[in-house]
Amino acid sequence: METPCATVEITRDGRPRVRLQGDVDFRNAQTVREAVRSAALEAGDPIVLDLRCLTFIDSSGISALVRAARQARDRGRGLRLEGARPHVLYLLSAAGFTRFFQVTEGEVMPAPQHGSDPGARVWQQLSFTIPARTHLVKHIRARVAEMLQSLDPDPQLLDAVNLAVGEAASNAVRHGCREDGNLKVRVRSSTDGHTLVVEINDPGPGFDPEQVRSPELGELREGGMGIYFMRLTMDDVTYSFDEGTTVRLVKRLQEGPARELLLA
Amino acid sequence: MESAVFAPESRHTADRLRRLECLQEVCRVAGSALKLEPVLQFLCGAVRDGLELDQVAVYTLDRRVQRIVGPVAAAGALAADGLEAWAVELRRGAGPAADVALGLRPYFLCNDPAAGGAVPAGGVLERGGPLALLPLRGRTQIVGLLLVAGPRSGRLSEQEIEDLRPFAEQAGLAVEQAHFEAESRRRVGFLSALLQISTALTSHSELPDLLQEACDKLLEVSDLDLTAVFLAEGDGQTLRLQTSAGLHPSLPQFYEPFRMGERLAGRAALERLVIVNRNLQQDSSEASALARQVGLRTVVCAPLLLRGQLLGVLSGGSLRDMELTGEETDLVASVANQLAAAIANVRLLDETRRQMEEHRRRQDELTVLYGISRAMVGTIGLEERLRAIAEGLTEATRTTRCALFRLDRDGLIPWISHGDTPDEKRRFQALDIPTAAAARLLRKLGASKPPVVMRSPDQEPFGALGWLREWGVRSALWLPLAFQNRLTGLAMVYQPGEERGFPEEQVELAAAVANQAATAIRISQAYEHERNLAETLQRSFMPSVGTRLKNFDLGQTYLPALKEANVGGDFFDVFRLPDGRVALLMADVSGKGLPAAIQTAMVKYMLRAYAVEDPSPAAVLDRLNRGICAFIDPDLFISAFYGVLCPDTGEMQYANAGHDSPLLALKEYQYCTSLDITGPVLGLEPAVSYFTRSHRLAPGDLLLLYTDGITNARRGGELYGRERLEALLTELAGGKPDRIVSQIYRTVRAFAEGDLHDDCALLALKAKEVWKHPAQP
Repeated sequence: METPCATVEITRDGRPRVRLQGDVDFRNAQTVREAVRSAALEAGDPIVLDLRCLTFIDSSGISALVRAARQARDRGRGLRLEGARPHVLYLLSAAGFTRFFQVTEGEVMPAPQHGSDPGARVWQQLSFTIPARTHLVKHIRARVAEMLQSLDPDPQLLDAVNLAVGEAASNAVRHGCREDGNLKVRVRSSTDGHTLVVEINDPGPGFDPEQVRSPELGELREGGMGIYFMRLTMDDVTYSFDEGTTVRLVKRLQEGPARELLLA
Repeated sequence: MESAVFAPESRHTADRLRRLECLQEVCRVAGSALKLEPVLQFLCGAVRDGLELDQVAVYTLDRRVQRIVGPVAAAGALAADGLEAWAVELRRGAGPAADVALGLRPYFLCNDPAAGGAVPAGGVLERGGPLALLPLRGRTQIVGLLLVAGPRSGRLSEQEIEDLRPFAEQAGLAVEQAHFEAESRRRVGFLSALLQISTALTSHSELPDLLQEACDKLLEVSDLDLTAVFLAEGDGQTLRLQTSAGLHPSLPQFYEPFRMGERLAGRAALERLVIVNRNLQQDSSEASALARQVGLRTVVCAPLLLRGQLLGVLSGGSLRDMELTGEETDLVASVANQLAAAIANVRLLDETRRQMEEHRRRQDELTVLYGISRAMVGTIGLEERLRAIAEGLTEATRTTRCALFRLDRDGLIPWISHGDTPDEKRRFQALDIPTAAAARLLRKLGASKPPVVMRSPDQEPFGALGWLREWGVRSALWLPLAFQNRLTGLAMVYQPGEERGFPEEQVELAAAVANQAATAIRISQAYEHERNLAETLQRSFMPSVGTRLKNFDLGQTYLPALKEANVGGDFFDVFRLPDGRVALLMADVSGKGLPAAIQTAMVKYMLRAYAVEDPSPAAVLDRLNRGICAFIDPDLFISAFYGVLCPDTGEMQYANAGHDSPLLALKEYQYCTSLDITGPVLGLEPAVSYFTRSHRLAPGDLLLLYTDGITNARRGGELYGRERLEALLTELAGGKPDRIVSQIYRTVRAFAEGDLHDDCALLALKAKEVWKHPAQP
């Protein structure tokens, strides 16, 4: 049994506090809404949303947060974010959602500078297949993140890649394979220290990415957010449909001209 | 009788003329339809009766022999003898008859032979009475004579001669026609005889049959009584009877060989001309003596010549005195020409056959040699090669056994034997050849000398080898095995109990095999030497048996690619670090054989040294890479997976330098994944960074390290591939690691149909289901 991603507690000053922990993604996003709703039953305002222990949140999680915040606002309650990483704040503001939340000023801080050239040749690669089961999506994310972490990246960059890979992987599992555990999602990723390329393939028939329009600012809907977030956070997102569906994510890890990275 | 009506005085009446016309018509009809003699006979009778003559006769001219033949038809009272005598007179070719025959005068008429005197004497004239000779004219020439004799009391008038002309003309055409037909028949006969002989001569491929056929055919189509063929002997001076047909002379001399110039055939051979001898019985020359004794009167001899070369003589003989026409002589000469060509053909055929036979024999030898060579190089292992050589030598000599001895510092040592029983093999291996005997043997069978055929075990230098007699070896072929002019061993092929020679071609073939063998042996020895070294090294790379780990089981297998009979560059290592953790290494050095093996050893111990120094796998690979770049052959690259496992917790840190990603079967999640590659292969360049990853192995998890010999196993153009391996591992993951690795190896080998081209190394590490937890510090 996994640890619940959201717990509700009452702080010493009598305010309800919802603490998110671990990964929040499409699988448990509903839990977040439930938790906020039950916290809203308590007196005390604003409701505090503690994100300090949140390790990952995908577009479903964000959507859940926004829905919860809107519901709270409709009931005249505020939702205050605490310990949100800049990446999450960036996503909320980029989608125009910040207005639903109360954010402590000091939390929006510039990210520390990282990524000085290692001065050595770097080449790493991973390639694996994984059954199309929803609870394994985090494994995909973790593997890419692990490789990226070895390069000691800017945390925001790590969050961005994490989000995009999570979106791509969950699309592959949920839409490409329809969560059929007998089907396999193939993941390939490679980095030379300057650029990261991730390819996620599923045997599904694919779709027309041009038909997936970006959501209006502040608009909330079920689908479509994933690709929007990928495009928001990655330098390049391309789809190909030669063998099933393959999404290729490219992220520059350092300033300077992008280097073309070929996956072996 | 109507004839009574024709009184001499009424010969010129109209009635007579009418009869004459009638007669002419009848004769014309008859002449165009019947054969020559009945026609002439009819003509003679009709003319005699119609013109009331006493005698009518027809003679023909044989232009071929320039004489008058006949009478061929006659009607009248004269005796046949008288007519023939007349003909003989005519033949003399003089006088009025000859003049008529030659066309010098239109006819000859004599009403008073007794007074004339110019007419030859004979029965016709003796009887008296008028006589006339008219030419029988063909279309172009005179072909005969018509003789008429009138009543003894009467005379023949010029008019009557004129009346005869149409008949003479008619008879002339008939004769000419008959001559023409006879000539045609004769020519056709000649040609068909020649054709028959030609056909007969070209249908034989064996010389005796050919000659017999020629003699028989010539006898058949000619009037000869004896035909014979004499062929020139190899010395070109002697002729020998090969075949004859017809008479079988009882004289033994007839069958004996004779020299050119002797006998009639010898003269024809010497002069190279067709020679016809007639009237032999009147001849007294020495050359014709034998022919006379046999009883021949006529002999024709034709030389058998082919492009100026005398092959022999074709002879024919007749018991009669025959006048041979030009065509008949030609026939013999033609047959002789044809026969000469046919003899040459048959000899050529024989020669071709012989050459083909020789060629086939050579080809057989080559096939044997090729087969042996292939068998020899089909394997690189020394023992297999020696067996192939021994087998090849017995095959080349069609014997049953072969023994090989090697020459080294200790003397001549039994090496390997072939074709003998197990008891005999033991007996062979137990042989101890005394130094002195070996030295004598080697002097005799020195490297530069050809093989020696031993004809008896007592023959020197074999006498000292007592065991030869014991074994019943009565004859054997001894072959030196020499490499670069140095004797390295001896081979003996034999068949016990049998006294036999070794034909030259067998000796040659065996010597060729032995020549190849010595080199092949030397190569195998060098190879075995290197392989022994490499194998010893290779063995030292394998993890020490019985590496036992807490909470984990190990399974391992390493199979060098046997087909190439090479020692590969795969190696793995499992060793304990001072801090209690366990290091796992799986690596693949590019290259094979001894050089790769030596580098492998260096790399292995370099890694061990760094591993003790630094806990981080990436740091160890960084150092190892720099070390390899500095010290190891720059053409060598090494892919390596290096991991460090804490057996208490299952925590594994690893770094992977371009090695095939190890597979990890996760028990909890029921799937199989591959670990990362965290840097390029080692030895590429010093300034690369490797990275460490961590993974925690949970109970039941299985880690499989392997080299590309597994995933690159091929069936046709198809690779086994990582996906198949993943699927197989998922299926097998529940079992024990040693079973898993052997099962994987068997499956992959079956996929490649037993033909694995590369080394295969497998190392499986499985976390036990139940763990012993470390004592809390």
